[in-house]
Amino acid sequence: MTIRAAIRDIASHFPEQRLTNEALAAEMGDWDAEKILAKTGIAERRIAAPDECASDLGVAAARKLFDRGGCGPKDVDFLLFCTQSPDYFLPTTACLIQERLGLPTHCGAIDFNQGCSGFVYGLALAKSLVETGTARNVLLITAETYSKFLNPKDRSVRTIFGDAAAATLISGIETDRELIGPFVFGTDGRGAEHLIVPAGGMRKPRQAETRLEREAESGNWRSEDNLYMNGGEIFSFTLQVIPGLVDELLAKSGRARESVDYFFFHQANAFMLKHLRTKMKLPAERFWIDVESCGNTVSSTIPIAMSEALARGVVHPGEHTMLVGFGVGLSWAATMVEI
Amino acid sequence: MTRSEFLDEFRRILEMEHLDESDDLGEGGLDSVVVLSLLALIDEGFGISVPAQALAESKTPAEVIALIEHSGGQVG
Repeated sequence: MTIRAAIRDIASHFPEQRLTNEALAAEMGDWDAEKILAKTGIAERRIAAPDECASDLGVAAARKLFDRGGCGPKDVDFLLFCTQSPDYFLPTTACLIQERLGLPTHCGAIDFNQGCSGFVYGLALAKSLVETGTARNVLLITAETYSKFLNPKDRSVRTIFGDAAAATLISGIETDRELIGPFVFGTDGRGAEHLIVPAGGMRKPRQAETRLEREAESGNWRSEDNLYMNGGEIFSFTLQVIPGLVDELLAKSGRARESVDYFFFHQANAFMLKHLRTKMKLPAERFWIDVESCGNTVSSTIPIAMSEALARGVVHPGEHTMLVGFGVGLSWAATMVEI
Repeated sequence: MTRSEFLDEFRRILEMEHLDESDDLGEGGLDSVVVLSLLALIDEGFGISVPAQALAESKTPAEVIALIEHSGGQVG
């Protein structure tokens, strides 16, 4: 018998404030709440408070996971924190989370900067830690506050993104079955400019000039301090890459499409997901689409979807699921998970 | 997908009653929602993808059709 990594539990947390389509429509003046829902599948998204960071959301998600009883803080020996909105450039936000959660000081803790593919990348890291005997209980937290990057006058992104966090426990169990994996990864930095916050890092520090708002396409306003997304280019990338990614993972895992009990794709927006599902001829009853109450929560969309699907009885322990993350970077990753 | 089928769907996406190939699509270009819908339509109807930026900057339906043909799509 071998030690294999397995997902043991998932918990999620959302900030209190809700931004509804009605509120967005009232703010923008010439928008229609029903149209936003029809186009995106999103009715509301949660927004972090001004003093609420991704780490706060992550800590809350982890505490919910601990409260469920499967694991306590003292059991965690490695913390992986996936975010693109850290508390500071330094120190590592995972170190701050270690202290706040009361994880033992012998626990490893690192941040990794990844977006929509981040949960799948995190599973790969966690699996590697567990199956090499480096760690026994890995706490993978994905947390994001993209709302803080958005310009209030940029309609192209305000309807889409919501803030949230998820905490996932990956532990070793004795079995000969591969419960997480195999993986397929992909990266294409040529698409980096299609989803970016240009200023604020070391390449272009924030200054007066980067704060200047300019009117861009379709009457959207943004500065270089704000998030820019070329939705068309991101969609094109998705159409070109994801069908092949799914086929590649099926081949690598020796599975037929029909043997996958459920597909969890990154919940970018309902329009894109429905088109992908139709294009790839995946059955609707085995393909999760639900962005209505939280929008695109970046690296947390997949664990939130899995958690919700389990709670609703849509998937059951022992079933074989495919997780597909894709987006900012451009980055993509897919894996098989036995729930 | 034929040319007229494509124009019918294009018209539906723009929520317009009438749309000819030479009609001006507006100074500011196509908005992101329209671009996404067109990309999906082109993918479904022609099995190809077109450069999203070029699509967004198209001035007329004729330019969009030319973009499709240039990208390998067979517009019947």
